[in-house]
Amino acid sequence: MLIAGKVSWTLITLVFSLVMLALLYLTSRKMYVPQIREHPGVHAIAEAVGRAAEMGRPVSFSPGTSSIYDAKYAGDTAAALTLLNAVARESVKSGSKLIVGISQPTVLPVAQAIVKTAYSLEGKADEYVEGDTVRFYSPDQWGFASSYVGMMYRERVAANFLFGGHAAEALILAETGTTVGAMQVSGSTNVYQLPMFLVACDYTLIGEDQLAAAAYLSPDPAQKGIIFGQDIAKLICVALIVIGSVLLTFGSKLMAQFLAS
Amino acid sequence: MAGIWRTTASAVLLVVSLVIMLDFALRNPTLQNLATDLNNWAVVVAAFALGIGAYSLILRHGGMIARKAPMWPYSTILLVTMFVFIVTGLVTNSITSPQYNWIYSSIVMPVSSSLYGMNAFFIASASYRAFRAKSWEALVLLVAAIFLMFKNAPIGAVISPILPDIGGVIWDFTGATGMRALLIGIGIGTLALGLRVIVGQEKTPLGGAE
Repeated sequence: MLIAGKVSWTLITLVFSLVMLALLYLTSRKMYVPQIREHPGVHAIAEAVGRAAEMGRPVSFSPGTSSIYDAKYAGDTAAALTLLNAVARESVKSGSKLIVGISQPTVLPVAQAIVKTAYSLEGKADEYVEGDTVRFYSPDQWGFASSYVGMMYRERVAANFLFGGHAAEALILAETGTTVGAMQVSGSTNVYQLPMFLVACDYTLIGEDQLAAAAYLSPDPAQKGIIFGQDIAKLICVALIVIGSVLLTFGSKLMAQFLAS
Repeated sequence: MAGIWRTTASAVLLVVSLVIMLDFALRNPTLQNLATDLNNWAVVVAAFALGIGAYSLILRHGGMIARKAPMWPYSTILLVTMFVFIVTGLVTNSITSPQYNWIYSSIVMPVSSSLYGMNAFFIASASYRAFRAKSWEALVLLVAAIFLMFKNAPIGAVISPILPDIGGVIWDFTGATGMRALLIGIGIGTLALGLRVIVGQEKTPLGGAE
């Protein structure tokens, strides 16, 4: 028995999921491979790591201050971890020292496993330093911020990546990155912190761009299929908004009633 | 071995995700109890993870003290403070005891507030860089920012009552509509990321790359 008020949510989620899964299937079978436009922010990741390697200075990465099971920003944390994989692989390849600052204990073992695997896959497992490459700072927002800022100053990082769920500490981290002369790539779905990243960082992955960034970077065509699925889902949303507006203009509350059902 | 681990993790994730999503949409007491149990387990797992965090801190800072690394006294302060907090909590058998609260309200709170206050200076420096009208986009940003400041600062209404209204239009129409469009995209993006993880296209959040 569906709960009243969640019927439209269930139906829309089901339709969107089916669209995305259908495109995932088509692309994984190479029956259709969509062309995805180049995203400058995503490609700046390799550029920033390369710059750090040329300067002989470290790369820093923060997967945010939200936990991995946070009700609102778990998606951000998961997206940040997918990007950590990309940054770690690039750093190891280019020979840059990577420092990952962790705030939430639930994120720590996952981040350690990702970075360790990246070092192993590049044949440099001995360069991974337990407790130093991935550093646990503090679950407290400001404790984490002060530790991360201190690390950026001491290590003079040349590239700084700020992804995941950041809150009021976002600007302090990003401005410190600017002060130490780091090239910065950030991303957030927190609409209140996005302006902070936009003004202080070189590149910002806005909202869903951060969530899809790992799929952009992946050579697997199936990952591109799901991005195309996202675009179709957005087109459906636009269609619902337009139809709803027209119906309401002519006095019909049909769409509003459906969405509230 | 890693392959078996990832397959098992993906299977557990699929089942757990379905239970949580179905519990959100369906009225079923069994599902509700199961979802509550799963949420409680998440809290328990997080508590264990805190232990891993503490171990990581002790490993790093203990090592720095042992080899007298630069700024090692700060590592000593960190570890001593951590143990004082733990011991106070254990001895008083409470995290709401007057002793525990004193440490929190006398040290942690003022330091946190000071750091939060630093945001004002960082906002000023970031705004200065962002609002320099070096391009048409930056000019639009600058003009919008001026009207929004007139909306929020009392001086706007003193100069002219129209100024806060213009700021209000910018905030209510362009700001709110843009934000809502962004939120729709984020919702769809989160669903897509969830599907990528559940179907095993994205294995990184389960603790390791391909």
